[in-house]
Amino acid sequence: MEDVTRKSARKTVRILAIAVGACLVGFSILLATRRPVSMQTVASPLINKTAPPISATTLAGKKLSLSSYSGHFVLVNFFASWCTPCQQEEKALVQFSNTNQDVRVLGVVFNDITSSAKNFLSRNGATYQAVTDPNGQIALSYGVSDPPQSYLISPKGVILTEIVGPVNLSSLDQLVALARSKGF
Amino acid sequence: MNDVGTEGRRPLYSAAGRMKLRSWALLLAVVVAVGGISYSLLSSNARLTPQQRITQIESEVKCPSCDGISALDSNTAGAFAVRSFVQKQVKAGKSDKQIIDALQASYGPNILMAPPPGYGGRIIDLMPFAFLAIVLAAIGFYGYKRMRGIKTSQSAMQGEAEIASPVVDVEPSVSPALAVFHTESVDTERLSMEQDPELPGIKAVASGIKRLRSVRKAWVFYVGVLLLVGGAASGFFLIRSQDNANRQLAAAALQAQNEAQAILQARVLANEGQDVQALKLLSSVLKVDPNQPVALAYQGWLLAQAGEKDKSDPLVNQGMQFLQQSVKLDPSYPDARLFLGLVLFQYRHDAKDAVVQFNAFLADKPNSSFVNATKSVLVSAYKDAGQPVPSQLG
Repeated sequence: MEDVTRKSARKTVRILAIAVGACLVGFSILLATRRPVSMQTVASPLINKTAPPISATTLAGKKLSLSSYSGHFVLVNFFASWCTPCQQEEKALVQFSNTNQDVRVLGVVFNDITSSAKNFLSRNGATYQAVTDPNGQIALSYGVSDPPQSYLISPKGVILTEIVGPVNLSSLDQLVALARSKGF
Repeated sequence: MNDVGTEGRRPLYSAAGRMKLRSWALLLAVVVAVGGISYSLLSSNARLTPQQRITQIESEVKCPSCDGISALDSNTAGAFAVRSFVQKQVKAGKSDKQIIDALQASYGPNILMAPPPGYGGRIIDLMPFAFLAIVLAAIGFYGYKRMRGIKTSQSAMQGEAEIASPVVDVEPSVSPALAVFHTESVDTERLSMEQDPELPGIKAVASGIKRLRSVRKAWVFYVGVLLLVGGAASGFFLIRSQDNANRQLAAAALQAQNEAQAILQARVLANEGQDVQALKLLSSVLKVDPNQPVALAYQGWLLAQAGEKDKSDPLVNQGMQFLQQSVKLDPSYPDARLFLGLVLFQYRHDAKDAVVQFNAFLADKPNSSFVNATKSVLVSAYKDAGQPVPSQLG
């Protein structure tokens, strides 16, 4: 009787040890294969949500609100004159703005001097509006880390996509066409 | 039914009642533990000042354009924007959670220095608890099985002994002893005793021992549960208090760093002759920490100098008060001693008291350049006080 009990106890202990061992091995594999949090890229939480309001002063010194563009696709572009990728994308943005009359481009100056931003836009022949963001609060509300960063906003004011890095003309055209085809 | 057989003892509560009472006691213990933990969680941030809250939130949030650096530690435009946002929100009366949630709404959880874990992370977090639960369950199961085994063998042995004994009146179908020992609850046990009023003395003793064991086991179980809950709660409180202490230390370190920078800047401004700007900076430091001896000393010195310049006795007195307070707070701070001595000697012409301060100043082995700059005044003070000039000034 006692032998049977002992055998049963040994069996239980053995099963438990195997289970614990398996858990530890699994745990180690999980830790070893997980990507560090800093390397994990997450899509903007603002996508499919109402765009944060923008109400600021243009480089020409006038008040401008994002809501005044309601009913149009809007491409909000955060830029700076000192940023090299911004210089690369500027020509495409100007061309996009000129060829898509029903799409509004709104530049937001990111950590730059107003006069430098103004010169940068005029040098590239930009005719679209750009606003200043003195305390970086617009950039903060859009979750901007580094320029250039752009957001395509639907005519109803919903953020459709976020573009991190420089844009190019064909991808912008495709994005707008896709958004239209989806009924935005 | 309430009568306890031939012994005539009447328990205060029935077995079911006792069980109910124990359950309530256990529930109460759990509620108290959970309540305590919740209170510690909710009240930990209530004691922080707005500035400490700002510092804490800024340290929990990343600088958006940096890699792994908090908004507090970075000087980029993004970090500045975060800091500005946090300050505005705290001033607007928003809670820490609301502020952090607003930032997360724009950047996602990666804006936090310690982002909340995903499913994988949660599993990892739960692993130690799951492991503990498995171990406890295994111990409990093994203990239960072992106890059952012992009980069964004891019952069998007892049964055999009783069958062999001529004194015991054995029923043909089942041994009464076995009937008693196989029962689980006290009530069933009592019933079986009542059913057989002619129980032999040995059975009554065995039953009494069993009952005692049963009560003891129950108490051991409840005390164990209480110890477990208490231990977990104490551990939690300990970790929480340690965490709070670390945060307070970090906030204090930051405050000290800011103070040191402000004082240094004030000293530079004072050297450049911008006394008003320097006084403004020192006042801002003293507003946050009225007992900062360095700020008090420099504030006092600048005020006394300004008072002497403007021939304003109240201003000189005010300066002296600051200096005396600084000396009181940190008697080993040489600058305060020197300044107080200079004010006493030059503005109050009190060489005797000035020398007391100069002695303390020199005893702290001050910077030689500092000594050389004030050497002539100090020598004059010692001479006026009729005391020998120390070798450091020789």
